[in-house]
Amino acid sequence: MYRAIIKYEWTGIWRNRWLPLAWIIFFLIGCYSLYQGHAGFVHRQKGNAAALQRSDSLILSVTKEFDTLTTTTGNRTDLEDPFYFDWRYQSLALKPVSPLGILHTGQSDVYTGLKSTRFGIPGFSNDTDEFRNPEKLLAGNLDMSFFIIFLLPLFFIALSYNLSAADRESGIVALLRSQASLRCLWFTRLLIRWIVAFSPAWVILGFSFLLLSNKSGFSVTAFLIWWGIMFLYAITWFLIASVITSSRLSSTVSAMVLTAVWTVLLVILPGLLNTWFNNRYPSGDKEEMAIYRDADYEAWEKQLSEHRAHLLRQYPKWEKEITAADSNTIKGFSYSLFMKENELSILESQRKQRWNRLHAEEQTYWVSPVAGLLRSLSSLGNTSLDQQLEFEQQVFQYREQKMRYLFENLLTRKRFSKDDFSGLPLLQLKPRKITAGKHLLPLLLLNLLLCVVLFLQGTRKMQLNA
Amino acid sequence: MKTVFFQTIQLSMRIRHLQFMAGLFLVLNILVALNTSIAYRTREESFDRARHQVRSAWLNQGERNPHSSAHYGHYIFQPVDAMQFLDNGIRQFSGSVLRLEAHAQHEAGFAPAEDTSEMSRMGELNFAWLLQVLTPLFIILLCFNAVSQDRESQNLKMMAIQGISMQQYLWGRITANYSISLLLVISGLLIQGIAFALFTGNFGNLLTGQLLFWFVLYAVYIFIITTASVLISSQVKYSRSSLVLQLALWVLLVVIVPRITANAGEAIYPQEHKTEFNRLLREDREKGIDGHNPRDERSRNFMDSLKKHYKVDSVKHLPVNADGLRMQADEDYANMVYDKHFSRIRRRIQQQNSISSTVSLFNPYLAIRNLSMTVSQSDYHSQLDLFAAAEQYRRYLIRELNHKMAYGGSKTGDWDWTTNQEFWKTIRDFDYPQTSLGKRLYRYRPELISLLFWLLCSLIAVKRASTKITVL
Repeated sequence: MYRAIIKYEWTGIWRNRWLPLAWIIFFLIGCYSLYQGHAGFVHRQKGNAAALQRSDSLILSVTKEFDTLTTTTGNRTDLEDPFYFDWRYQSLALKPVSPLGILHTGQSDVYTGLKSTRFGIPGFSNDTDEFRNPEKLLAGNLDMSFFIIFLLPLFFIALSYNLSAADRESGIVALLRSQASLRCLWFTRLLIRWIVAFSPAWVILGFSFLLLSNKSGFSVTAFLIWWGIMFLYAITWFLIASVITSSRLSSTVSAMVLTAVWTVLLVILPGLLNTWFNNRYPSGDKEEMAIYRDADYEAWEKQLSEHRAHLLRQYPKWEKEITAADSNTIKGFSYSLFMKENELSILESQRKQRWNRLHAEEQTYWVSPVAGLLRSLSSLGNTSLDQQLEFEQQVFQYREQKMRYLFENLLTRKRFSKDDFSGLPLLQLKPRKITAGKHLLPLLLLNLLLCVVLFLQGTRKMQLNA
Repeated sequence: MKTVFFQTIQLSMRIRHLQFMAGLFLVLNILVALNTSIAYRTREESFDRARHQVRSAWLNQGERNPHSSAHYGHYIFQPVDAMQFLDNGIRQFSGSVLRLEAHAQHEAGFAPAEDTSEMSRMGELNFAWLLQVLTPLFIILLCFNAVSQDRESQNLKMMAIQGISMQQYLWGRITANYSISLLLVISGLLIQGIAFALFTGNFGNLLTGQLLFWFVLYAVYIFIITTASVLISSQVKYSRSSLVLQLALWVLLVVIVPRITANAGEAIYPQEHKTEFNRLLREDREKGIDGHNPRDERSRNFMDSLKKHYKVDSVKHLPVNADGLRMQADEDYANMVYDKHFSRIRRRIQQQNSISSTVSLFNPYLAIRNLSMTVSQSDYHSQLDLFAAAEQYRRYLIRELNHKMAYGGSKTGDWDWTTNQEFWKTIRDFDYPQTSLGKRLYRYRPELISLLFWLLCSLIAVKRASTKITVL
């Protein structure tokens, strides 16, 4: 029986002159999405590589100078001065990139994946940010996740909206019932249409594996999880269509209801929530930048005695060295510490605001499961906000560590030798946290609810038939 | 036509899914109005506070060397316009703070989207969004069976027998459905206006000629969509097919095409990397005078020319502070370098956006989106106007400070010389630019042409369709 249904459906698909064309169009859009995701990823990678290349050349020139530096005699050279050293030794911190960013761009085109580790400039400086086109950011990215989450359900809706209604409207239900169970017929046909609608994605899965597998940092497990999430999402649409098409609605009403579900689930709910969050956690006008500047000037213009007292509070064990140190050393070190404190207070307040928003957003994934789905994909691709915050915090900590190392050396040692240079702390980013699973729970619950509704519909129908 | 008009309105009022959609539209309007008015008030307050704080800090910086003050600089914040209450445009993705200081032309930073998660990419609901995206969907549900249903129920045949001309019939349907849609839009606008007045207490700011023009643009857009929807319904045999076709068109024009054009723009005109930009900038800047390095060869030549001009043999005998003049010479050169390089970057972004602008000739959604943003001053060009004005102000500010250093009474090499507090008042505050509507619209000629073209096409199409309509 199943063979007959499949054959019937397959013939129907091939007889429909629009369907193969639509499939090809969707497949081409999918391929283009993959290409666009890849192009964006490569562009960002090239930008990072160019910045790192320049940084490496600067570091190399500093290293070479230290190789030939004689520190047994004389006073400190310019290079041994922490501020000058910081200006010359322009190392960069690169956020680990996941090739899954090809499939889901997420916020990687908004967040900075590359940060300067100079302590002399504030962490929120945008010197390393690439140029962005706000109109493009507003329009959004065309990548695989957009293709699967937004476009393929529409293809599926177009294929399935009149699944049972068309038979009813053309009066062939009785004929079909005589040949097979209506429920079995409906289910198999819906399944076939679901497979056809989402098949462009499964074909592109193969292409994406070929494209991603040769990228550094590629993980087969993460790749399979990514596609597993998409499969789960595709199932959600199968269940939604099952519930609606089995509800004895006319084909016109079915089309309207399915489109309304798509609009509410993917456009209205996330959009409304985003608007509310923008309002609840406003970004503000960043007056902190002006406050930071004022604090910068204030710190620089402090009396030497204040700077000395500040240092003594921080380093009571080095009282002797602090008392003996010259005014430039005291002022430079104390000023840098003041600035790090100011920067930290601003970063902490921004960080708190972002975390609060993120936690509040997590609660709303139960209302808008698609937002949770996107968060899972971002987490897998290392482009989520929590991962960005973690990265920025680690860079700040490293910058402070480097500053302290250089000034402590200036305070306690006569010269900054090659060995001291070799002992300069290096940035070691902690492995990223992936929180893909927990944000999918709302989607799983939605699927479960749809299954229950479907089951109840089936029971009711059976009762009616009885 | 009058009969068809009233009959259409009566019938539409009775359709339950339309009542539901209209209700949903109004509820969304209320939610959006509440959200955006509170957000607008917060933004406005924050902007005013930040602006006054920065000016006050400038005026009260105490006695300071003018060059130190040039590094202290100024901050420019993204301004808030009443029309942005209706269309927030690219604000979420454009920098909100711009630092102005000596020697460097910075880029605006801290785009609000940087503080948000991937949810911010799902769009921000505002009234413009409701009109651009959701209203066409409502119109489709209103009009998809405007003619096809009459054909299916044989009413069309009846009307033909009664002698109603097809053109009159079509116009009746179009005007009736357009009136319903427009009524909904006007209700929405009223809701927005009331919320704006309640939360900001400044309704007068919104009631300008710009709002009227903005409304006219949307009225044209809605007319185009209504006419298209009724015409498709008249040409397609079944209501079901008409609905599916119109929904597919909506998805294509509103969801797919804007993304494809934006991404294609970036692919066709790839942007230069920051490292490359910095390298080119550095190379060009190194060819000029280094304002902070008197040992630099060009600096020495400049000093020699000064000595020659003032007919003295040593910089010590110059009647002016040569450091101030040297730094201004550095600025003058650097300004040319910055103009050259930043204009290249901005031109590239405009080239990227030009794809969407050109495609708007075929897609009224893109046309209205861009026009709406420019009327609301929330488009990329308005941002560029702000940057240009900010850069002019930076040049004025630094020039004044360098001239104060040069001619204010200090001597060359005297970096500890300070100017008194009163001097800061002589520096005018930054005036946020207001570009005329005409100039703004001129930049969006393809979009304006597109709307007019589609309007004309709609009028012609009704005439042509009325002759081809099949009653069976």
